[in-house]
Amino acid sequence: MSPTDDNGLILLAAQGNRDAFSEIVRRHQQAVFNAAYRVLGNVGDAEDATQEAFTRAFQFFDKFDMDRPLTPWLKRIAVNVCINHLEGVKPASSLDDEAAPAPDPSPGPEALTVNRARDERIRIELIQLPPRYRIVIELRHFQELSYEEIAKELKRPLSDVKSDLFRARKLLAERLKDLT
Amino acid sequence: MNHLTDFQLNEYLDNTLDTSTRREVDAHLQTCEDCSAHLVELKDVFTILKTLPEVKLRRDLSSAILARLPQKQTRLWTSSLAAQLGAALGVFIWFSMQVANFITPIISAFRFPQFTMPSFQFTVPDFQFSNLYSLFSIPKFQLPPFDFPTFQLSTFNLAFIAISIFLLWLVGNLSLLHDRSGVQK
Repeated sequence: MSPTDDNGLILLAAQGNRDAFSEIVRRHQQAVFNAAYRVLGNVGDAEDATQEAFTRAFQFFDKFDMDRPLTPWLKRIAVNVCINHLEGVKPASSLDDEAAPAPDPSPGPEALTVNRARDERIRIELIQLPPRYRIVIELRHFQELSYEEIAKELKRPLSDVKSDLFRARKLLAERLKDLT
Repeated sequence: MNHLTDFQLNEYLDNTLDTSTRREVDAHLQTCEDCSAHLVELKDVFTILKTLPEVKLRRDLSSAILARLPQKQTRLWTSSLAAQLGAALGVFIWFSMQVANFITPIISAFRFPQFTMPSFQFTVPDFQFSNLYSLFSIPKFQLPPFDFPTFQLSTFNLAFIAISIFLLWLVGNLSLLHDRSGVQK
């Protein structure tokens, strides 16, 4: 372990070294931001969630298991921040709400190449899913957690997690049929 | 075998079916076009999600994140500090009692010393001032009897002192050298 690898930086950051923490942020902010963006669907909110996720991580570095990679841990924190954000934005049964936030309109599809337009279309369909579906898609497909790990992370019954995941895939399959 | 359910197809793609069920699903897919088509649709979703590129972050967030970090908080009262203070107080009280036991006999021995003026007698034949020699009489001095008190330290007391010092050292180090409560400026 050297001072420049993740674990070395974490040790320094846990002791309050701001330069080390800043380096950790620079290395992982892209991945954390994308996790947040896939769940929230809005650049501004995703940036806020990224900042909050790193702030939380900084406070819990002494609890981080150094035998595991840092990025998945940070992305899971980001998803938890997003869940809190979604619960705050829409009170009561927000995660069950079928309505979805409007996808970030910029940049406009007309300015994109064919591939970028396709990617944008996928993102829009992803964001149109109910929040609880987006969360399980993020955890299963992008963070590669098992059903059991997702259930544990979300503190929800395994059967509910499977049900949401399979419905989310079915919806995406229907909506993206023309792309395949 | 009936058509495969969504659950079976999804678990098949997630590789979570047990070996025998997986074998049955494989056999069914060989013969059922509907289920195979359904499987392909689902598989496409997997591929689409897997190949979705990341969005580029518009700006470096590190400075904004650093600005949000909590400032270092100096905790005046912590559990370790309280434990250290308690241990120190205990050792102090115990040690004071031991010292008191040790010095009490010494003090009492010196409290009222018995002095007897020593007397020296001069005989000066040439002088007639026989009455004056009493002026040169030096009182006789006699040291009071003194038994140096014995001070015994039992094994228990020794062990108690050693453990107390070790605990003080340990707690003191934990409290002073490993403070991770805040942020270094």
